[in-house]
Amino acid sequence: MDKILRINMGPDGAPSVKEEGLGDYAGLGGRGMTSSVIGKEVPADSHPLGAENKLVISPGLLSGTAAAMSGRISVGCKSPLTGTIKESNAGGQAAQVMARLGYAAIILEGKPKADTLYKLIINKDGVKLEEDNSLKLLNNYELVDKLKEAYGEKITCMTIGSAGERKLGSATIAVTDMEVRPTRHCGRGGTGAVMGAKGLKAIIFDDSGMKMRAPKDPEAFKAANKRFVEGLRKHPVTGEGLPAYGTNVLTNVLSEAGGYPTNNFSKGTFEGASKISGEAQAELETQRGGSATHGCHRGCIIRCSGTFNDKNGRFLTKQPEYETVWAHGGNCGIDDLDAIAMMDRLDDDYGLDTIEMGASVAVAMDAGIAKFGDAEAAINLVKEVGKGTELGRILGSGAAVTGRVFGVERIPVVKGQAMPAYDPRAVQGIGVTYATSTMGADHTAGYAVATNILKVGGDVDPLKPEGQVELSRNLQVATAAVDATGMCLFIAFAVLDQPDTFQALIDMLNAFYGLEMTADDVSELGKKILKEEREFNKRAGFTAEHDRLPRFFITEPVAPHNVTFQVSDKELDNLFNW
Amino acid sequence: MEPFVLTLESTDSPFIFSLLQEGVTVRVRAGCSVKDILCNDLHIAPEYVEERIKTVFLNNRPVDDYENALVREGDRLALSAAMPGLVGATLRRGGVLSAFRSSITHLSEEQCESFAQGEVTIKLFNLLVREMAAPLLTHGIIVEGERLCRMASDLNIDTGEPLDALGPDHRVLIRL
Ligand code: SF4
Repeated sequence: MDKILRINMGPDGAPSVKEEGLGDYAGLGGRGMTSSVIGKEVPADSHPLGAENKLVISPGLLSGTAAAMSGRISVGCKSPLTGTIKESNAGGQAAQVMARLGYAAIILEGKPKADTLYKLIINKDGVKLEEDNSLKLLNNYELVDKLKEAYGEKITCMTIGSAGERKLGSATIAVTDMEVRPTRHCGRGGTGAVMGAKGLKAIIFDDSGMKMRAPKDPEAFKAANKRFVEGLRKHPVTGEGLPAYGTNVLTNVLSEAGGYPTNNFSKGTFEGASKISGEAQAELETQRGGSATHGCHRGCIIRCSGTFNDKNGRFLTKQPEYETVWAHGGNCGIDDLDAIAMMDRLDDDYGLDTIEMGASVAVAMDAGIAKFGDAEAAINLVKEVGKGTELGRILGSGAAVTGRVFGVERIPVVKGQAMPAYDPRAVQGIGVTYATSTMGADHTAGYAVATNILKVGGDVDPLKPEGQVELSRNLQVATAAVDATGMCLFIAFAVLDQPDTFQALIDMLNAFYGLEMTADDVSELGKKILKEEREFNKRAGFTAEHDRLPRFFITEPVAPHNVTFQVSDKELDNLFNW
Repeated sequence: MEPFVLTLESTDSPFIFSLLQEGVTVRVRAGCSVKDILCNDLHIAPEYVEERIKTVFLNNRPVDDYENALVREGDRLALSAAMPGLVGATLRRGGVLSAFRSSITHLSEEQCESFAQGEVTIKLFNLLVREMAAPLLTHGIIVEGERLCRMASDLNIDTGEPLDALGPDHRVLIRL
């Protein structure tokens, strides 16, 4: 990972492709790399779909090595959905393969003058950028099948479906999994629309003939990786709960807590929760010959995913995650796992963020376009996006646009991005993260990572009201650091509870790069990333006034606890005072 | 009306797991703490309760101090293993992130002086469904006859002749 591939789509004639050294970006990976490039090279006031915006793709610092769980790939740009800086990451095979091919980043810049569609092929022999208008408006499944026919079964793809080509705010970049299916997505913030604006339909990687990245100190690296894996295996969440049920294990629990946004955030408990729970889903998957335990890339040992077969036992989609099951399920009053899985499949195929899409459908239901609970109507609304109708384009542009077009007051977004599956009135701390994250409402922005170990910003007294703000800050800092490593965030639970496992992660980084980093250095890295992102957003015109939840969270109490969001603006404004 | 008694030979059935996930009625000493009920009424080992039951809800409220959270007649107690995600960790009993949901947390109360037999609803989630099915069924769970028949038909399970005669008001005590 010692080179950057820079592609300018804009020059007259043909796009230019050049390889360069890491320069100022040496030592960066994942979100550290993407946010640094965007912060330095993209004018903050540029149009997200214009020539000045860039799309940066970067594997994590440990991707392509033998480190378990190191397969997250980050994509960064100025977001067409939020107007802020954006980093969106996904599993699948791309991070491992791109890292083994030696690239720390691919930077796409400029904008093609003609309406031509390109594909980028990267393998051991080099890089080719080719025109291919035969791929126009293909959706991800058909597109990947076509690419497999042309380039063989060993490829890994990053692609956009029709939503990306139409430059919709919910458009994703799909990443293929171990079975070369387009099931993993850089979902949030409309990164697919930026790839569409650059005229790039697909990146095809083939790492045949390439070796795993070698650590500076192989023995120490191996030993640290072993301790890290043992830590993950012995923890009940990463060793048992996630493999057995996936993230959808949260449905029952959130509904019981009264924090499960139901019918477009109008109540906190869903009567149909047990029908769409992770427990019910795992049972159904196993019954139909699918699997409830599956990894999204080689080297994942938690394996929170699975395969969802239809009633006839044929593959329909990967196991829908908690956020997807919520967005297309309880948030729309739908308690039918088959319907939810179908919408997951359609989203993956068109290349749409399942959270944003479910939120748009729920807002449309609130407007009376369809009834809450009507699964067939919801599926048809998603299909409108695939067809590219006017209604589909509105829905595919996100919940904020949908709400504005249909005159809905209850629009659950921050900085234009839809909130995920946790009601911030019941779980106020996550409301702090939704409000202040540099990315718009995002549940992964402040994930549970070793607050007690990192002690970012000093010791926190969780019982004081201001504890929520301090905790959220610490979590956002630590998350930014993990996002730079390429590690799946689900390692967080084991790392949070087991200091040994956290140390093993730092030891791995040190052994790989020949460094002597401490926990403090890790938090400094996280802080640096957040600072760069905040600075970009400031230059783009974002102020403290944008770090707020929509008004209805403050004025509408939510059942069953009948609570409103109570963290004051002043406390929110303190988050970045470190 | 005394419940109709149904004796099972094994707990290993999706039907039982669905019932436990949705919630069943259990007779316990009302007014005791969550821990007391789990350990002394349902005879679950204290180490198991401490190590495995990491997430507890009493009437929708996350519980931190389960030794001082009192379960009263008609209450609903939901139990889960440790959960993933930021919010999963937030809901965890006594976790470092409990401040994140302080507005809905169950507050501890004074212990009651006397206890009387009463009925409470218990729900089991995720890993606990299989692991706690046996102690719960050894103690006995009560389910409305109508719900039992509806679920059996939803899951295509033949409950056999004994349940055919159940009226809508009948309740069934299921135990091992
Ligand atoms: S734990 Fe889940 S999301 Fe993370 S790498 Fe494994 S399968 Fe992918």
